[in-house]
Amino acid sequence: MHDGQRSERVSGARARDVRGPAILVADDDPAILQLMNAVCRRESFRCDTARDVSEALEKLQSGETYDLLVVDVMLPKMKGDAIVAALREMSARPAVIVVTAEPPSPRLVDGSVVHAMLAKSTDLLALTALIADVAEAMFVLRTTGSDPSFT
Amino acid sequence: MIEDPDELVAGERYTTSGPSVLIADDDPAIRPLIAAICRRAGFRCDTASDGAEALAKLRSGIVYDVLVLDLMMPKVSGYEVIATLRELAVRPAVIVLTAQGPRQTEGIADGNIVHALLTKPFDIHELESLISDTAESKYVLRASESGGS
Repeated sequence: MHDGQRSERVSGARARDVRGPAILVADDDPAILQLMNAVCRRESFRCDTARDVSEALEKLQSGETYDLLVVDVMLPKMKGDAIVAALREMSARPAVIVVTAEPPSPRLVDGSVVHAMLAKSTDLLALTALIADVAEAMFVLRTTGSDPSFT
Repeated sequence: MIEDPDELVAGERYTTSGPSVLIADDDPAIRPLIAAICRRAGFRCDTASDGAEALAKLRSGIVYDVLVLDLMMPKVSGYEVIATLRELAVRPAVIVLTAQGPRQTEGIADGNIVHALLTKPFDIHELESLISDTAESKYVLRASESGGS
Protein backbone atom coordinates (compact mmCIF):
# COMPACT_ATOMS: atom_id res chain seq x y z
CA MET A 1 0.00 0.00 0.00
CA HIS A 2 1.16 3.50 -0.76
CA ASP A 3 2.00 5.69 2.20
CA GLY A 4 -0.51 8.26 0.94
CA GLN A 5 -3.33 5.71 1.03
CA ARG A 6 -2.35 4.63 4.53
CA SER A 7 -2.20 8.22 5.76
CA GLU A 8 -5.58 9.03 4.29
CA ARG A 9 -7.17 5.93 5.78
CA VAL A 10 -5.71 6.50 9.21
CA SER A 11 -6.40 10.23 9.30
CA GLY A 12 -10.15 9.66 9.01
CA ALA A 13 -10.08 7.14 11.83
CA ARG A 14 -7.88 9.36 13.97
CA ALA A 15 -10.59 11.98 13.97
CA ARG A 16 -12.33 9.53 16.32
CA ASP A 17 -9.27 8.41 18.29
CA VAL A 18 -6.46 10.92 18.02
CA ARG A 19 -3.97 8.54 19.59
CA GLY A 20 -3.92 6.23 16.55
CA PRO A 21 -3.32 2.46 16.29
CA ALA A 22 -1.86 0.75 19.35
CA ILE A 23 0.32 -2.37 19.54
CA LEU A 24 1.27 -4.36 22.62
CA VAL A 25 4.44 -6.40 22.20
CA ALA A 26 5.03 -9.06 24.85
CA ASP A 27 8.50 -10.51 24.44
CA ASP A 28 11.62 -10.87 26.56
CA ASP A 29 13.90 -10.47 23.54
CA PRO A 30 15.22 -6.87 23.50
CA ALA A 31 15.83 -7.09 19.74
CA ILE A 32 12.13 -7.79 19.09
CA LEU A 33 11.05 -4.96 21.38
CA GLN A 34 13.48 -2.59 19.69
CA LEU A 35 12.27 -3.58 16.23
CA MET A 36 8.61 -3.16 17.12
CA ASN A 37 9.29 0.19 18.77
CA ALA A 38 10.98 1.31 15.55
CA VAL A 39 7.98 0.16 13.50
CA CYS A 40 5.64 2.11 15.76
CA ARG A 41 7.78 5.23 15.57
CA ARG A 42 7.89 4.99 11.77
CA GLU A 43 4.11 4.58 11.54
CA SER A 44 3.26 6.96 14.38
CA PHE A 45 1.57 4.12 16.25
CA ARG A 46 1.46 3.75 20.00
CA CYS A 47 3.59 0.88 21.24
CA ASP A 48 3.52 -0.70 24.70
CA THR A 49 5.91 -3.46 25.65
CA ALA A 50 5.88 -6.22 28.24
CA ARG A 51 8.83 -8.40 29.19
CA ASP A 52 6.88 -11.11 30.97
CA VAL A 53 3.38 -12.47 31.42
CA SER A 54 2.56 -10.43 34.53
CA GLU A 55 3.42 -7.22 32.75
CA ALA A 56 1.46 -8.25 29.66
CA LEU A 57 -1.60 -9.13 31.74
CA GLU A 58 -1.37 -5.87 33.63
CA LYS A 59 -1.39 -3.90 30.38
CA LEU A 60 -4.14 -5.96 28.77
CA GLN A 61 -6.34 -5.49 31.85
CA SER A 62 -5.51 -1.81 32.33
CA GLY A 63 -8.40 -0.60 30.20
CA GLU A 64 -6.08 0.45 27.39
CA THR A 65 -7.28 -0.65 23.95
CA TYR A 66 -4.83 -2.45 21.70
CA ASP A 67 -5.35 -3.13 18.02
CA LEU A 68 -2.65 -5.78 17.78
CA LEU A 69 -0.91 -8.02 20.29
CA VAL A 70 2.37 -9.62 19.23
CA VAL A 71 3.27 -12.17 21.89
CA ASP A 72 5.98 -14.73 22.50
CA VAL A 73 4.26 -17.64 24.22
CA MET A 74 7.49 -18.75 25.85
CA LEU A 75 7.70 -15.66 28.01
CA PRO A 76 9.23 -15.79 31.49
CA LYS A 77 6.75 -16.31 34.33
CA MET A 78 4.37 -17.90 31.85
CA LYS A 79 1.55 -19.42 33.87
CA GLY A 80 -0.12 -21.80 31.49
CA ASP A 81 -2.47 -20.04 29.17
CA ALA A 82 -2.88 -16.90 31.28
CA ILE A 83 -2.70 -14.49 28.37
CA VAL A 84 -5.07 -16.55 26.23
CA ALA A 85 -7.49 -16.81 29.17
CA ALA A 86 -7.34 -13.05 29.72
CA LEU A 87 -8.01 -12.42 26.05
CA ARG A 88 -11.02 -14.74 26.15
CA GLU A 89 -12.58 -12.51 28.79
CA MET A 90 -12.22 -9.37 26.67
CA SER A 91 -15.19 -8.22 24.61
CA ALA A 92 -13.14 -6.21 22.09
CA ARG A 93 -10.03 -8.23 21.38
CA PRO A 94 -6.98 -7.19 19.44
CA ALA A 95 -5.63 -9.19 16.54
CA VAL A 96 -3.21 -11.65 18.10
CA ILE A 97 -0.02 -12.91 16.45
CA VAL A 98 1.98 -15.46 18.42
CA VAL A 99 5.71 -15.49 17.81
CA THR A 100 7.22 -18.76 18.88
CA ALA A 101 10.53 -20.58 18.73
CA GLU A 102 8.89 -24.00 18.81
CA PRO A 103 5.37 -25.36 18.29
CA PRO A 104 3.37 -24.23 21.33
CA SER A 105 1.00 -26.50 23.20
CA PRO A 106 -2.56 -26.63 21.84
CA ARG A 107 -4.01 -24.89 24.90
CA LEU A 108 -1.90 -21.82 24.08
CA VAL A 109 -3.21 -21.54 20.56
CA ASP A 110 -6.97 -21.35 20.93
CA GLY A 111 -8.03 -20.50 17.39
CA SER A 112 -10.87 -18.30 18.60
CA VAL A 113 -8.42 -15.98 20.39
CA VAL A 114 -5.03 -16.41 18.70
CA HIS A 115 -5.24 -15.62 15.03
CA ALA A 116 -1.85 -16.30 13.53
CA MET A 117 1.59 -17.66 14.34
CA LEU A 118 5.07 -16.78 13.23
CA ALA A 119 8.23 -18.81 13.71
CA LYS A 120 10.80 -16.98 15.81
CA SER A 121 13.34 -17.71 13.09
CA THR A 122 11.30 -15.62 10.67
CA ASP A 123 12.85 -12.44 9.37
CA LEU A 124 10.55 -10.15 11.34
CA LEU A 125 12.05 -7.14 9.63
CA ALA A 126 10.47 -8.32 6.39
CA LEU A 127 7.11 -8.58 8.12
CA THR A 128 7.00 -5.14 9.68
CA ALA A 129 4.85 -3.76 6.85
CA LEU A 130 2.39 -6.61 7.37
CA ILE A 131 2.30 -5.98 11.11
CA ALA A 132 1.73 -2.26 10.53
CA ASP A 133 -1.04 -2.97 8.02
CA VAL A 134 -2.84 -5.27 10.45
CA ALA A 135 -2.64 -2.78 13.33
CA GLU A 136 -3.85 0.03 11.14
CA ALA A 137 -6.74 -1.98 9.67
CA MET A 138 -7.83 -3.08 13.16
CA PHE A 139 -7.70 0.54 14.27
CA VAL A 140 -9.86 1.67 11.35
CA LEU A 141 -12.34 -1.12 12.08
CA ARG A 142 -12.41 -0.26 15.80
CA THR A 143 -12.96 3.44 15.24
CA THR A 144 -15.27 3.38 12.21
CA GLY A 145 -17.05 0.04 12.59
CA SER A 146 -16.24 -0.90 8.98
CA ASP A 147 -13.48 -2.82 7.25
CA PRO A 148 -11.08 -0.47 5.50
CA SER A 149 -10.64 -0.78 1.76
CA PHE A 150 -7.99 -3.41 1.14
CA THR A 151 -7.23 -2.55 -2.49
CA MET B 1 -14.05 -3.09 -2.28
CA ILE B 2 -12.36 -3.78 -5.56
CA GLU B 3 -12.55 -0.51 -7.39
CA ASP B 4 -10.17 -0.82 -10.32
CA PRO B 5 -11.79 -0.78 -13.73
CA ASP B 6 -12.53 -4.25 -14.97
CA GLU B 7 -12.69 -5.49 -18.49
CA LEU B 8 -15.84 -7.32 -19.57
CA VAL B 9 -14.86 -10.65 -21.07
CA ALA B 10 -17.33 -13.37 -22.06
CA GLY B 11 -20.05 -11.92 -19.86
CA GLU B 12 -17.98 -11.77 -16.69
CA ARG B 13 -16.01 -9.00 -15.08
CA TYR B 14 -12.45 -10.03 -15.68
CA THR B 15 -9.95 -8.32 -13.42
CA THR B 16 -6.98 -7.23 -15.48
CA SER B 17 -4.64 -6.29 -12.67
CA GLY B 18 -3.78 -9.66 -11.20
CA PRO B 19 -5.31 -12.25 -8.94
CA SER B 20 -7.98 -11.28 -6.46
CA VAL B 21 -9.01 -12.84 -3.17
CA LEU B 22 -12.26 -12.73 -1.20
CA ILE B 23 -11.90 -13.22 2.56
CA ALA B 24 -15.06 -14.40 4.32
CA ASP B 25 -14.79 -14.54 8.10
CA ASP B 26 -16.88 -13.12 10.93
CA ASP B 27 -13.80 -12.62 13.13
CA PRO B 28 -12.90 -8.96 12.60
CA ALA B 29 -9.21 -9.64 13.29
CA ILE B 30 -8.86 -12.34 10.66
CA ARG B 31 -9.95 -10.17 7.74
CA PRO B 32 -7.23 -7.50 8.09
CA LEU B 33 -4.63 -10.15 8.83
CA ILE B 34 -5.32 -12.07 5.65
CA ALA B 35 -5.79 -8.85 3.68
CA ALA B 36 -2.31 -7.77 4.74
CA ILE B 37 -0.93 -11.14 3.61
CA CYS B 38 -2.66 -10.78 0.23
CA ARG B 39 -1.36 -7.26 -0.21
CA ARG B 40 2.16 -8.47 0.59
CA ALA B 41 1.75 -11.01 -2.20
CA GLY B 42 0.58 -8.26 -4.56
CA PHE B 43 -3.02 -9.46 -4.78
CA ARG B 44 -6.16 -7.42 -4.48
CA CYS B 45 -8.69 -8.48 -1.91
CA ASP B 46 -12.20 -7.93 -0.71
CA THR B 47 -13.89 -8.95 2.53
CA ALA B 48 -17.18 -10.35 3.77
CA SER B 49 -18.16 -10.65 7.42
CA ASP B 50 -20.66 -13.47 6.97
CA GLY B 51 -21.71 -16.11 4.47
CA ALA B 52 -24.58 -14.08 3.04
CA GLU B 53 -22.29 -11.17 2.21
CA ALA B 54 -19.77 -13.59 0.69
CA LEU B 55 -22.42 -15.12 -1.57
CA ALA B 56 -23.67 -11.68 -2.60
CA LYS B 57 -20.15 -10.71 -3.66
CA LEU B 58 -19.57 -14.01 -5.46
CA ARG B 59 -22.78 -13.46 -7.40
CA SER B 60 -22.08 -9.79 -8.10
CA GLY B 61 -20.15 -10.44 -11.29
CA ILE B 62 -16.76 -9.74 -9.78
CA VAL B 63 -14.51 -12.72 -10.37
CA TYR B 64 -12.37 -13.86 -7.46
CA ASP B 65 -9.55 -16.33 -7.91
CA VAL B 66 -9.47 -17.47 -4.30
CA LEU B 67 -12.03 -17.52 -1.52
CA VAL B 68 -10.58 -17.82 1.99
CA LEU B 69 -13.57 -19.16 3.88
CA ASP B 70 -14.44 -19.62 7.54
CA LEU B 71 -16.94 -22.40 8.22
CA MET B 72 -18.77 -21.07 11.28
CA MET B 73 -20.29 -17.74 10.24
CA PRO B 74 -23.61 -16.06 10.98
CA LYS B 75 -26.53 -15.88 8.52
CA VAL B 76 -25.05 -18.35 6.02
CA SER B 77 -22.37 -20.81 7.13
CA GLY B 78 -19.23 -21.68 5.22
CA TYR B 79 -20.70 -25.15 4.60
CA GLU B 80 -23.66 -23.52 2.85
CA VAL B 81 -21.37 -21.26 0.84
CA ILE B 82 -19.48 -24.34 -0.39
CA ALA B 83 -22.74 -26.06 -1.33
CA THR B 84 -23.87 -23.00 -3.26
CA LEU B 85 -20.54 -22.68 -5.04
CA ARG B 86 -21.14 -26.06 -6.65
CA GLU B 87 -23.99 -24.44 -8.59
CA LEU B 88 -21.91 -21.55 -9.91
CA ALA B 89 -20.25 -21.80 -13.31
CA VAL B 90 -17.45 -19.41 -12.38
CA ARG B 91 -16.08 -20.00 -8.92
CA PRO B 92 -12.93 -19.33 -7.00
CA ALA B 93 -10.61 -21.92 -5.52
CA VAL B 94 -11.57 -22.26 -1.88
CA ILE B 95 -9.17 -22.32 1.06
CA VAL B 96 -11.05 -23.20 4.24
CA LEU B 97 -9.68 -21.62 7.39
CA THR B 98 -11.36 -22.97 10.48
CA ALA B 99 -11.12 -23.55 14.20
CA GLN B 100 -13.23 -26.68 13.74
CA GLY B 101 -11.68 -30.04 14.50
CA PRO B 102 -10.97 -32.84 12.02
CA ARG B 103 -14.25 -34.60 12.82
CA GLN B 104 -16.30 -31.60 11.65
CA THR B 105 -14.22 -31.02 8.54
CA GLU B 106 -13.64 -34.60 7.43
CA GLY B 107 -13.92 -34.92 3.66
CA ILE B 108 -14.50 -31.23 3.06
CA ALA B 109 -11.24 -30.64 1.16
CA ASP B 110 -12.31 -32.69 -1.83
CA GLY B 111 -10.00 -30.94 -4.31
CA ASN B 112 -12.97 -29.97 -6.44
CA ILE B 113 -14.42 -26.96 -4.60
CA VAL B 114 -12.19 -26.86 -1.53
CA HIS B 115 -8.52 -26.91 -2.48
CA ALA B 116 -7.04 -26.77 0.99
CA LEU B 117 -7.94 -26.61 4.66
CA LEU B 118 -5.98 -24.82 7.34
CA THR B 119 -6.66 -24.72 11.05
CA LYS B 120 -6.75 -21.55 13.14
CA PRO B 121 -4.48 -20.15 14.32
CA PHE B 122 -2.71 -20.28 10.99
CA ASP B 123 0.98 -19.98 10.25
CA ILE B 124 1.45 -16.73 8.35
CA HIS B 125 4.05 -18.15 5.97
CA GLU B 126 2.02 -21.27 5.27
CA LEU B 127 -1.11 -19.30 4.43
CA GLU B 128 0.85 -16.80 2.38
CA SER B 129 2.38 -19.59 0.24
CA LEU B 130 -0.95 -21.34 -0.12
CA ILE B 131 -2.83 -18.21 -1.20
CA SER B 132 -0.05 -17.21 -3.60
CA ASP B 133 0.20 -20.60 -5.29
CA THR B 134 -3.55 -21.08 -5.51
CA ALA B 135 -4.33 -17.55 -6.70
CA GLU B 136 -1.57 -17.51 -9.32
CA SER B 137 -2.65 -20.89 -10.74
CA LYS B 138 -6.29 -19.94 -10.84
CA TYR B 139 -5.57 -16.54 -12.35
CA VAL B 140 -3.37 -17.97 -15.10
CA LEU B 141 -6.00 -20.60 -15.88
CA ARG B 142 -8.76 -18.01 -15.97
CA ALA B 143 -6.74 -15.65 -18.14
CA SER B 144 -5.88 -18.42 -20.63
CA GLU B 145 -9.53 -19.55 -20.79
CA SER B 146 -10.71 -16.00 -21.38
CA GLY B 147 -8.06 -15.43 -24.04
CA GLY B 148 -9.01 -18.61 -25.86
CA SER B 149 -12.75 -17.94 -25.96
